[in-house]
Amino acid sequence: MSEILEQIATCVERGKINAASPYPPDMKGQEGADELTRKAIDGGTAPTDILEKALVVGMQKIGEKFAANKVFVPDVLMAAKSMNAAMAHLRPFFQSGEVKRKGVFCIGTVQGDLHDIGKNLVSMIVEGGGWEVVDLGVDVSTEKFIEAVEQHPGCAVGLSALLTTTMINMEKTVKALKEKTPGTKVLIGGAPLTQEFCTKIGADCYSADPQGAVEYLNKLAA
Amino acid sequence: MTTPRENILRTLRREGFDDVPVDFYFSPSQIEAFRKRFGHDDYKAHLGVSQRDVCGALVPSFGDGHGLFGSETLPPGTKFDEWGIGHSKGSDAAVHMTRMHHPLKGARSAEEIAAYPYPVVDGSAADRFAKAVAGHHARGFAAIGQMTCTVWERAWYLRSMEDLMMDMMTEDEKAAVLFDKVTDISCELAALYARAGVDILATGDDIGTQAGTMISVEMWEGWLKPRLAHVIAAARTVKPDVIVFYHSDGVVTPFIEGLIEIGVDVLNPIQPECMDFNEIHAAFGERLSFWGTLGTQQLLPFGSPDQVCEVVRDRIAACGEKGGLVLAPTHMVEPEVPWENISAIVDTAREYSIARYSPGETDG
Repeated sequence: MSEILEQIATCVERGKINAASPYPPDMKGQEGADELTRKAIDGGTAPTDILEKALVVGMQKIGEKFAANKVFVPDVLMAAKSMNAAMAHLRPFFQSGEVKRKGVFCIGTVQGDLHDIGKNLVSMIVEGGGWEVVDLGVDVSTEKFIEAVEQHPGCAVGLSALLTTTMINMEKTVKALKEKTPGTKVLIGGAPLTQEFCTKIGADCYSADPQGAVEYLNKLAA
Repeated sequence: MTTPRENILRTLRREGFDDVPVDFYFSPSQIEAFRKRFGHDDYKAHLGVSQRDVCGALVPSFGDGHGLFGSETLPPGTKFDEWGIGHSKGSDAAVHMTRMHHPLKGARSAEEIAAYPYPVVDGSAADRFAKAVAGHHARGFAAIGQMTCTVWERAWYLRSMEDLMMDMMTEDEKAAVLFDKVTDISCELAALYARAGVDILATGDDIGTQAGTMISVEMWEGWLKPRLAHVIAAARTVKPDVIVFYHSDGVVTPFIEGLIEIGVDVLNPIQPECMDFNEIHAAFGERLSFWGTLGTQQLLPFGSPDQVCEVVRDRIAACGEKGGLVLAPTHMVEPEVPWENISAIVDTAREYSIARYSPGETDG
């Protein structure tokens, strides 16, 4: 890997957004993901390499550390902010089709549930895994999930729930998705969920942490 | 005869008990189901809850809450609490839950945060609180001053979690200004409760998640622990024997030593899905009491009454004759918890009541 790609990956993992950001303290004054990505593009580095060999690598490292309880929610947030700063420079290449992502992941908290911390963490890590994330928000109806799948054919879907009341409703959404759009892969997550429940309701993947979700998705894309 | 108040205070001090106290907080649909079953709403009296709340001393400092949100358009029907935090209704399926709107989200300077119209503590609430406490005591109940969302969660609700965490990570003074404002109000409130004579002060901030702590121990020690310590000290200066209860969902094990150090007496709720109660009790049970421990993610909604009885017996056995336990669901009792499982908690706890044994009765 080239030096600049390694530097960008480090900035993403450490949450170094740009030169102006004082975080992390030991990188104060140094260029961040923002400046280095611009520099890499201007220097002729392929945008696909920036995505796959820098951003995905940095986010994977932070995702693995988060799953192992070595870093915490604010660290993931800072990493995602750095990734977004770099992504802003890649946007024109996504639009032109020069850089392709692994697929589309539509995610939402199920109807009746207004919690979004878990959903947002999964969104950040999956986007950092090289996926286009469509965030449907909270309290999302089954119809809205189906509509999203119709708009993004071939996408995978993530359902989040924090409460046992809304977890029970998940079964209806999974059933409807499987009936209306057969073949759609459905991932579920949230505090009260278990693998047993996932199997029972016919979802394809349960993960206790965001990294498990991105690893499952990456297998689909492989 | 021992009153419920005397009993719960004794057990929270780990000095033994006549009865194992229980506590419940029903969702509106559970209250409705209770009303249909029993013809009244007072589930706390029916289930033998030993304490009653004292709360409500903050007065809003803003006029129209919409004015706190600048150009952000809030959903129709948004209501505002005393802090100016917006709450809008979700879909019908969301029943009692609301979506939160953060008035200081996007605030750009420490000055803007300092100038926010924070609520004021109503000095005249002192008399009202004292009367409420006396009323609870006269009925034999302990009085609990409710002030959860003490520092961290209140600041997060005002600013949004994302903005606040960013401020903390970048050592931005906006975080310190906001935390100090919230802490000052909490200190004033804690002192007010203590002057009114509450037996228990209920503090709390969610710092755990299902899989681990939400923030690092270092971050908690730097930003939150000293401020929570001030709040506890504000109450203890007035009423040294007030029992301090602390709530956080999720995994909080790495914070427990620090919580004890700053004067927390009782930990709530100890979610069994992510914390092993026996391990926690073995490590901290000599210095800390526990309130909760009965899981609302698996056991209570999906377990059988027999399974509930077994867990209740295990908990009581783990705590032993000194007590230090109030049995309670780890969260609000949601609609899918069957009544049989609620009764199983109360009935099993009563098996351990000394009133069941006549004086002089022996085992053999």
